[in-house]
Order: sequence, then C-alpha cells, then structure tokens
Amino acid sequence: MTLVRVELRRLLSRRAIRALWLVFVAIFLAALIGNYVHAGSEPLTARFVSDGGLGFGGAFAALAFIIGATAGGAEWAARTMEALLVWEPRRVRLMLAKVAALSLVIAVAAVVVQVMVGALARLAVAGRGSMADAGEHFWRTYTGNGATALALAVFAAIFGFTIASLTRNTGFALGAGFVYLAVIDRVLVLLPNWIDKFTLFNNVAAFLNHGADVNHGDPVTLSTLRAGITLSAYIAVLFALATTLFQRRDVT
Amino acid sequence: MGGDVVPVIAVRGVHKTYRRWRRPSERAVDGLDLEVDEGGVFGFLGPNGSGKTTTIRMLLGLVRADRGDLSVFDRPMPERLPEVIGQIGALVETPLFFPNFSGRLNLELLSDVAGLPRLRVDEALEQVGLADRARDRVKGYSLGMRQRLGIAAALLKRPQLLILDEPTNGLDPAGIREIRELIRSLGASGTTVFLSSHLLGEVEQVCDRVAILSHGRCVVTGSVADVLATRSTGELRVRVGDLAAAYDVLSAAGFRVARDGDTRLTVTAVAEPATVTATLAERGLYVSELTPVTVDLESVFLGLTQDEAADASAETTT
Ligand SMILES: Nc1ncnc2c1ncn2[C@@H]1O[C@H](COP(=O)(O)OP(=O)(O)OP(=O)(O)O)[C@@H](O)[C@H]1O
Ligand SMILES: [Mg+2]
Repeated sequence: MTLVRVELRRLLSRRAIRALWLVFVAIFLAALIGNYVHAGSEPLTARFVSDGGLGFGGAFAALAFIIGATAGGAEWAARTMEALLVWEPRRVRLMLAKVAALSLVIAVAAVVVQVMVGALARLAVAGRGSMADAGEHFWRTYTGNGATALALAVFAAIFGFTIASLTRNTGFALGAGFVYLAVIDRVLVLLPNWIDKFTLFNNVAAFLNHGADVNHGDPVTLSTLRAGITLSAYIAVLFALATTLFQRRDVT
Repeated sequence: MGGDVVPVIAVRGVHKTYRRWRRPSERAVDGLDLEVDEGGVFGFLGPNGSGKTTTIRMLLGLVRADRGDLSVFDRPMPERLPEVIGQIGALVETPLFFPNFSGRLNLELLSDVAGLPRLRVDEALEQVGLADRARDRVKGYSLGMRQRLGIAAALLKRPQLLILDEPTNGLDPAGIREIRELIRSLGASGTTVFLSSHLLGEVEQVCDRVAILSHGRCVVTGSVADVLATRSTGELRVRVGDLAAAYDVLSAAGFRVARDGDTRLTVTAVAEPATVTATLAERGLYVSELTPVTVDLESVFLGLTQDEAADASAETTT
C-alpha cells in the first residue's frame, strides 16, 4: 500500500525517531553490562540468554510509547496534516496507514533488539558460564519472550500514537503517559479490588511475566492471555475514539 | 452562464461558525453563494476575516460546514471528495512542511501519496524556481521560498482546479510577477484557478471573474468589467480651449459639470461620452482631451466592503 510506504518513509526520515533509537541502544547496552556486573562472579546460565530480552521489554515499550506519541503528534506540530489531507482526504485510511507503518517500524526494531540482546548475552555466557542447561525449550522460551516484548512495544506505540492524535499534541501524550503511570495507576490500586485486574500496570506486568498475581488481599492470577486481551481492548477503544474524532473534527 | 454547464465550484447557502471551548464562537461564513465556471482565473476577494480561507477549507473537506451545500466538479463535498481529489491542487494559507526535511523530501512524501512520478517533483520545483535549493532543509528557507514550495506542492498534480490562498504572500516583486504569469498561463490553458488575494492590482490584471466577500457573504460577483461597472460613476475629464464657454454650454444642456483646476472640466453621470463631444462641437468648441475617470478594483472593493461594514454597525446600533 502506497500510503503505508509513504508513512514508513516519513517515520524513518524523522530525526527525532533516529535519535530515540540511538538513545535506546545506549540504554540497552548499559543495562546488559549492568546485569552482567550484577551477576558477580557466579557462572551465567542459558536463562541469561532466554530471559534477557524480557528484561528490556518494559524499557522498550516506554521507548515505543514515546516514538508512537511523536508519530501521532508531529503532523500536528508542523501543521502538515492540512497539506496531507489535500492529498488523501480519507482520514480513516490515513490513520490506519500511519498506525500500520508505526507498528511495522516498532516490530522490526523489537526484533533487532531481541537478536542483539540474545547475541550479546550468548557471548557473555560463553565467556563466563555455560549453556549446558539450555534444554529443549530454550528456543521456544527465547522466541516467546521476544514475541511478548515485541507485542508489548507495539501496544505501547499505538497507545502513544492514539493519545497524541486525540489531543493533537505529542507533549500532552507524553505527559498523560507519565501522569497515568506515576499517579493514576497507583490511585486505582487503592480502589475496590476488582479494579486491580484492569489497571494498565498489572496487565503489563502480567503480560510480560507470563501471568501475575494481583489483588493484595486475595491474590487472583491474571493470565498472559487475559492481560493481552485487556490491553488490546483498551487500544481498540482508544484508536476507534481517535479515528472517529479525527474524522469529525475540523482541521485548521 | 449556460444552462447545462456545470460549475467547477458551487456553494449554496453555506454557513460556518467556529465553536471554541470557553471562547465566543466565531461566525466565519454566513450564507455564502458562489459559482465558479470552468477555465480561467477566478478572484476570490474580501477583507481580513471575511471567510475566504474558511470557504476554501470547506471546499477541501478540512472544515465541515454547519449548513448549506458545497460541490466541486459536481460532486457534493466533502462526501465525494476522494473521487476528485486527484484533480485538485491547493495551497491554503501559509504552506507548512516538516522543517527538518528537505524541500524535495517534503514534496516527494506528498507526490508518493498520489503515486505521481518523481519527475513531477523536479518539474514543479523548476517551475517555482526552487530547484537549486531543493536539497536544503525547509527550516533554512526564507518566507518567500516556503511560499514557492507551497505553490510547487499545489502544482504537483497538474490539477484541473488549482486553489491558491494568497499565493504571493511574502514573494519579492519578481516572484509576484512570475507567479502572476504562471497563473495567467494556467488559466489560459484550461485550468480553473481559484485565487484568493489581497493584491487587487494583481487580481485585476490576471482574473477574468471575481467575487467579493464581506462578513462571510458574497456582496458582488461577475466578470471584472461587470464588477467595475457597479461602481462606475460615468465621470469624464474634459479639456477644452474656452473653459468658461464650455461650462455654460454643458450646464445649459443639462450635464452636471464642475471646474477641475484652470484647464479642465469634470462631467459626472454621463452615460455616453460621445454626447459631451457632440454638444460642445455643435457650438464650435472642440475637445482637446476627453478621459473617462476609471474606477479600479480597489475602489470598488473598498466601497463595497466598507458599505457593508457601515451597514453592519448600523444594524447593531439601532
Ligand atoms: N480555526 C479557527 N478557529 C476559530 N475561528 C476561526 C478559525 N479560523 C478562522 N476563524 C475565524 O473565522 C473568520 C474568518 O476567517 P478566515 O480565515 O476564513 O478569513 P479570511 O477571509 O481568510 O481572512 P484573511 O484575509 O485574513 O486571510 C475570522 O473571524 C476568524 O477569526
Ligand atoms: Mg485567509
């Protein structure tokens, strides 16, 4: 699809996105070294490789959120949306193309990160430890973890994109993301227990950690599947809202 | 206006009020009617805030009208805009681009949407005289260069309908002339150019037809000559040897005459200038100069839009 290609080119030409990517690679290298140092003199095992990627899942999702937010807000900041709509007035298509391009970029980046983590971790294990415990599930765990991190990153990017599209502002989306994680999610936990199953934080945790126990009093397990469905539902609702409003609101 | 000729742009009874959160709403277009036929250059004029840009935004589906019908190429807007968007090129207000992208990349991102050949980008850049700066980032462009890039973007599709909202804003005199020539040649070659501008001298030179807006309504529309005629006072300047005699003759014949300095007379409300010459010649007075005092678009514009403003303020005070 031409629209998706154009949006891909736009994303990949953006300096902000290139810069964010470099920042992330730096953070990821630092974290890997940190893990390595943290392990002290203990020999490393195959788990260092297979679970390595998951540790970055959260950080990568945060980065994806920021990239998504700037992808959604840039066109409004530069006020180029008006010009673009004179070339493609079908706004729903435009939104879908933008989200598709964004998801593709994030997914490819996630795979690259995953492979890099795996390779570096494998080197570390070769240097100090062994892969002897790698067992038959090693590859399945490794790719499964990678896929989880990838999916979470794509979710986060779309979240950022839709919030920035809704408010027509990158900064607002970033602020909203921060305020939600820092304040609202913590406040929600204080409310009746059933809400715990629906907070973003718990669902993300459950998604990344293959299920999690939520509810402080009487633990309830939140499965990966359930967390995935909840997160997808949130995104679908937000995206539908953003698209509907985009369709109806004036662009000036 | 032939019966079965479908206008390129038709606007009927359109209203638009911008509603803003916790601020007074702004009535931008208030019962606008407008028809633009195919080919030629149509001047869309009006004072600041009279609703020109808003109308253009409604035609392009960027802004939704509250009431009324708009159509372009006989398709109702904005519902069937996608069918004809490939034939419409537009520059709305200040052109905006990604500042960190080169001018060329900005144009390519647009032309790729429509699947145009890359060659078009080069041609359009050439057309507006920006080819040698195309690789620089837009951030470093001057106002006029951005404007040129905006015009290039509007030209990319080789549109049948070219909508230009103050295209010469920020251009130097040479640039204004280049764009005037470009607009004129496009209009002559069959493109319909819908041109909004405050440079009435330019408009008068290049437009075939005009519409003048005031407070979101069309106060006059038609060919430039017709519009000028609405304000034409039929005023003549007459130079003749014996001024005093000529004054008496003309007054006696029922003309409204006034002395204009020591060498000329001014005759007003004359339907046919030849009658003045004939009257004087009968008495052996020969005219050495007879000049109709021309009205220009500027005076018509100011007359119409200031009348409207006066009417509007009178309405509010009574
Ligand atoms: N986005 C907006 N929000 C609120 N009001 C607006 C908006 N855009 C325009 N207006 C108002 O609508 C009215 C008409 O504006 P418009 O831009 O259509 O005028 P214009 O004829 O293009 O003027 P100019 O010659 O200055 O370009 C003005 O009163 C303006 O304040
Ligand atoms: Mg305007």
